[in-house]
Amino acid sequence: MTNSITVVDYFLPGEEITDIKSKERQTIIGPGLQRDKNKPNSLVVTQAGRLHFRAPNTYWIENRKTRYVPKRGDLVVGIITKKSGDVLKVDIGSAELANLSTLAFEGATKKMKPEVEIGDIVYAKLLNAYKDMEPELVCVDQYYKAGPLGVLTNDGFLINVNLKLVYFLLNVSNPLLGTLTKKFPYEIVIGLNGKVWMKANKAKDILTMCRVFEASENHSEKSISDTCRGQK
Amino acid sequence: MASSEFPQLKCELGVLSKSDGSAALAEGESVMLASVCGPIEVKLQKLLTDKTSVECCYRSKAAEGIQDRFRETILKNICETALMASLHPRSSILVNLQEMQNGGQLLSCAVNAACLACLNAGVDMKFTFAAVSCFLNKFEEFSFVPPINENEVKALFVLVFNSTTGSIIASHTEGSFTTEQFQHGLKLCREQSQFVFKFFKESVINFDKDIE
Amino acid sequence: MAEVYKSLNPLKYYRDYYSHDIRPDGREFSDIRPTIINVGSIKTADGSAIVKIGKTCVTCGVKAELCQPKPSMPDQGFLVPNVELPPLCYSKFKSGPPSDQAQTLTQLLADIIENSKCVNLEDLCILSDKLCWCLYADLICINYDGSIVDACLIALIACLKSVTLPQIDYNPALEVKQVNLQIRRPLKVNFTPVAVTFAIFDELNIY
Repeated sequence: MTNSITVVDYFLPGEEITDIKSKERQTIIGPGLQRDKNKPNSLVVTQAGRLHFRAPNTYWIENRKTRYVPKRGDLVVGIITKKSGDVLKVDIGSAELANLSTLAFEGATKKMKPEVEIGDIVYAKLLNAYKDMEPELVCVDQYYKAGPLGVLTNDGFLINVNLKLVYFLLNVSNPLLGTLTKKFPYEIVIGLNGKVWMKANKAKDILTMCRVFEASENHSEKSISDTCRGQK
Repeated sequence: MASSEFPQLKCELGVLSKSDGSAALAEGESVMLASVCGPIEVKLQKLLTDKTSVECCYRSKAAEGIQDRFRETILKNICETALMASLHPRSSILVNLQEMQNGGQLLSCAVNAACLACLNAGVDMKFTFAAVSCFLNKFEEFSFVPPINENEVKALFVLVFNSTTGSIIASHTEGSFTTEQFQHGLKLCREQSQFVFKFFKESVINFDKDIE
Repeated sequence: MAEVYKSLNPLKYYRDYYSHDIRPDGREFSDIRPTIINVGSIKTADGSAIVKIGKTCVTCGVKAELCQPKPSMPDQGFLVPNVELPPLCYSKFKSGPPSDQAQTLTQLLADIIENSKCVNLEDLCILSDKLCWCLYADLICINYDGSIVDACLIALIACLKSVTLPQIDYNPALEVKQVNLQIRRPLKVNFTPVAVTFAIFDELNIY
């Protein structure tokens, strides 16, 4: 599917996109774009970046943003910063702390609370993210099963990367994580908010991963793929 | 009548690692460092329920004074017009500026650096903005480069333009001048602003270019 | 009825008036609100003025002090404006150190004085490098209802025009100064800068 993505051009805020290719005026817009009420067949750019288009009708802007803006359904990594009663406050890198109820863990009840301490790292899903409300997290899916969600162990390591790299890493066909797997075993949790949690057997391996991600932030996908191929 | 020479623009984006966006801009002899953070958590006192509160902090090289507050107000007004504040209510966007070197066109340099930092941070904006300083010396000549002797400046115009409509979003003047002179200065600045916008685009594209 | 309409649909309320080229209070677009100036109402100051533009009210008082000129500008005296926006004038303002807005206004007035050269600072010098006048112009807003810059500037200029300075007999050899309060001469104000505040509504016309 990645082949059908085309990079259109570089845009600055305020510039207009008039030649929309989508059919029947149904355009799906991603970050960095706004609709113009008065002109139904054009979009206004609000962030500096490269315009991407995926057939048939999806447009979005990609840039090296680091600040995360919560979106409903996103899987994020956060740090517990406050505990007040049944509600945990989680730092997910957005403007406000997100709420996570202690009941939103698998098997949790009023009496059986999960063991969560301040400073713990959780992998959670954004249940709600309205701009007028605090974002709300859950650690269970719609069947009240945790799946991969929940508290991450304390022997991992957390780093922040820019959002462009996150999208790259979350693409299943990316060669980077596969190449690393060949070198050493590791566990990784990538949050859409730019926080990445890692765990490996040796501290040296963790550091290698940090360096790899740091370097990848400034490289193009092609250059990363080429380097990975060089590593056999 | 006017010398078409414009002070050379040089910039570096993403110079600060801990802020969301940053830019160091040299406009002729003036150098400014700008950093933008946001949207981030807001102080309760400055919380706005319907939009982002834009906070500007200007630091000059010398001791703090009310002149800095004046510049902050100008910058804040510009940023409030340009940023899409309603997208992130109950948050704040911080725009910090540090004067590095004063070469005569501090204010326009500060405004341009702030714009570059906003672009670098990827904050949602309605349009980009560019400031142009125009000097009128005592021989009634217009120039974009400050005269070597400060006493020769009769008037200074700083005009900030909107990239989409080309309208003025802020104007600041010093000294005394006639309406005709202002109109002429405005015309010169407007023409020049196109080059500044072009420079912005080139700089941002250049920064975003990946290492192949 | 009009009040209800105004609060329900404020934009339309104004647009209806403006389409008939008139403001809601019956003024033409180019008219300013009724303006009253009262000069010399504060007896303890060396010059004073109270200005009302509509409901906006600003009072200004000038206090003159003797001091030594700055070494860099030995022939010039000082004129220092200071604007205060106390909580009294508008609930938005809090007490405490001057707000950003007050500081901005102060700087704006200082710039206007400097750019217009309405007061020649050399007139304030009594003896070069030794003695000069320092005029502290304190502006206090009593009621904040728009056009604050206009009101402050009118108040400041009216006040400066009313300033009288006593004669100083200074003996540089003995460094003795004698203030002769009986003989007072007015301060020379060369120009009268005027500020006009206007808004653009709907980007169509200037009101």
